[in-house]
Formats: sequence, C-alpha cells, structure tokens
Amino acid sequence: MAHELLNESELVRRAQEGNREALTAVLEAQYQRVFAVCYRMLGNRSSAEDQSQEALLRIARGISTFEGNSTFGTWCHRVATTTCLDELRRQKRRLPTTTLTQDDTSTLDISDDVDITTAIEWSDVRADIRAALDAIPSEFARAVVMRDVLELDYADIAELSGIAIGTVKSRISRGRSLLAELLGGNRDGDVERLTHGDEQ
Amino acid sequence: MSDDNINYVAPDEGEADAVVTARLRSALLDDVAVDESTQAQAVSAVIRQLDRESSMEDVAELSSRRRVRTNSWLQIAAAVVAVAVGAGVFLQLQTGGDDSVELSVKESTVERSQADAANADMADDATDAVGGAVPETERLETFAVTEEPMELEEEMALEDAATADMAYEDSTVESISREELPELVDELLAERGFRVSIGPVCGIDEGEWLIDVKLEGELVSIVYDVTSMSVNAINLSTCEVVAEITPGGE
Repeated sequence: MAHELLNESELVRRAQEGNREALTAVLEAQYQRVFAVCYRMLGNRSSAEDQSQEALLRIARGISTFEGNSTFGTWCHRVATTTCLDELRRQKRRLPTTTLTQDDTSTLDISDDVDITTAIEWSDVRADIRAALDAIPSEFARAVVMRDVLELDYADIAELSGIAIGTVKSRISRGRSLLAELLGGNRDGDVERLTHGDEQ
Repeated sequence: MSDDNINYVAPDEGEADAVVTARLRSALLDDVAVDESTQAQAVSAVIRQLDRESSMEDVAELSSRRRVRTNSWLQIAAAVVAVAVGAGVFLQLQTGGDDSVELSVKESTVERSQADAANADMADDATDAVGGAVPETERLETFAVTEEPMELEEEMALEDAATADMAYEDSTVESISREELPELVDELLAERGFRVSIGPVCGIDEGEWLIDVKLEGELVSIVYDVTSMSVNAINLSTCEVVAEITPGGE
C-alpha cells in the first residue's frame, strides 16, 4: 500500500482502525517533532531517544482516542511533552537517592523545589537565535521556550521551575518582550505565513 | 529587575509575537536532526510492543474462554455421572440387589466394547433375554463408559492447567521481600519496555502491569498507577493492595 500517497488524516483514520502499516507511517511522520520536543525538554539525545520511543508507544496506544479536536501533530506534541514531564518528575524523585548512593559522604543540599528545567538549553541552535536567547536572563528565555515552543501549560512550567504561576506569566511576558526586540516581530502583518502549529 | 517585582507589576503572560515564536520553533524544534536508524528502531520497537500486547490479550481471552468451556464440560460430565449412578441405584433397588443381573450387565458391557458395530444389535437382543430392566442399565453403563475418556480428558486438562499454574508460581514468579520491592520497582520503571497497559483495574483508572511476584508467599501483581504515578502490589483476584511502593525510594 502506498501510504506516502495518503494524507495525514486518512493515515490516522486507518491507523485508528488497526492498520499497522498506516500506524507505522504515522509514527514515522511524527518522530522528528516528538524527538525534538523530548530533546529540548531533557537536554540530551540519549534520554530524548528513550522518551521519544515511550511517547510513540503512548501515541500508538491512544490513537483510537484521538478525536480530531486539534491537529494530529499538536496532539502528538502534547503526548511528547506529557511523557517528558513524567520523566522529569521521576528524575526529580530519584535525584536525592541517586546522589546518596553515589557519594554518601558529600554534603547534600537538594530541596524539593530543585529546578529540573535546567536541562532546557539551546547551545546547539543556530547563531542568531542562540545569541538572542543568551542575551536575555535565562529564566525569561526558558519560560518563553517552555510556553511558546514546547507549549507547556502554566501550571507545568510553574511546577517544573518551582515558582508561582504569576511569576511564570511575568517571566513569559518579559521574555517575549525582550525577544521581540532582538529577533524582530510582528511588524509587517505577515504573521499567518510564518506561523505554524497551534498557539495555545 | 527581579521576577517578584515583575510579577507584582504585570502578572500576565503578555502577547506572543508570532514571528518570533515561529523563528524560535523553527530553530529549536524543526532544526533538530534525527538519526534515521534510531527512528526506524523506535517505530519498529513500538509496533513489536503493540503486537506483544495484542497477543497477550488474545491469550488472556483464549484462556478465559477455555476455562468457561472446561467448566461447562465438567458440569455436563458430572450431571451424566450423577444420572448414571442414580439410575443404577434405582435399578438395583428395583431388582432387589440381584447379583446375577449386575453380572450380566457387566458382561454385556464388556462384550459390547469388544464387538464391532455390526454385532451391536445382536448383543442387545441377547441381553434382552436376561431381564426387562437390563437393557436400560446397559445403555446407561455403556453411555458412562463412552463418556469416560471425555471426563478423563477434561481432568487431564485441568491437571495440566493446575500444573502450569503451579509451575508458573514456582519457577517464573520471583519471591521477594517487602524491603526488596522499592529497588525492584525502580529497576522495572527504568526498563519501560516491560510495561503492559492493563487499563482500569482494582480502582486504578489506568494501570500498567510491571511484573508478578510472590510477596511473603502471596502472588501479587506490581501495577503502576499512571494517574497518581504510584506503584502498588495488588492481589488481582481480591483487589487487595498488599503494598504501596513509592518510586525513587521516597
């Protein structure tokens, strides 16, 4: 069957009906975005590969529940972020125990609100974007990336950053403003052409 | 300016600049390179896992059906035996416990089992001569004899199942103490390939089966609660939560 000739919605419909070939094609098509989300959230390729596979499994298991209220890509993006959030929470829980077993003589000062979002970094992105992100306070930049790129909820950003939702919003506001100054902005009314994906 | 001051002055997220957002997404997501072989491995691993889960569901369904069917046959066999015994007692009472009649019946049954189909009617005629009640008893005994292999087969099937269950408990299921549980759970959670979604179970909205273990002599399933992200050792036959384990050793 020539799945490459079918559009995404038709492939998804067939996958929902149990067609393994269609499911394979759907998963292959979504892998890049899923991996990229995991890579940005977890900060290293190895963990990103593990969690991407986990996210694909969740997508495959849950594809029959996809109702088409958003695009399939957006739905997969959310599955990927949820999967990585789960992993970050697990890592956070494991952190004190792991450190203790590695060196039980060291002084431990790990609080419950340890910021586990430090994995989000952009050292490998292209120069202009990296320069802009590096030019503003990192907590502002991270807040904008988590919200506008990774599309995390305020509550999740607040939880992961160990700050209040109000602080999250103010960081996002300040970060957006600073990045707009550095990277140009919506000055020409040419937004629709440049924007892709769903804005939450 | 500190966060707190900003929070006090402007507790909102502002407006996203669509062009900036598009550039960020492009750089941070679209530009991330993917290793094609890793992608192919990941997708095929997922498909294999789904196939495994489907086959496990099929086995569970088949096992369930077989159990129902075996029970039905056992009930039928038990009913047949009960009728045969009852009829035999009734006949013995009716004939006054005449040993000669019983002997004739046994003899006739043996003859019937040895004779071919063509001689069966002749044997019936011969035994008719012994007494009026004999053919009925003979039919019952013959029926009981022909049913015997089926009963044996069912018993053997049950014994096989029981033996398999015992073997499963004895050889496959690991005996473990409560103290060892957290470490086992952490290892299993790290090896997510072993997880099997089992949906709603014993009050858990979405469970993932990790492993079966023998906890202090009791067979329990270690189930990950996806919603609360906790892990429970549950006796699935009673839904009793035998132990609660916090992943990460907290």
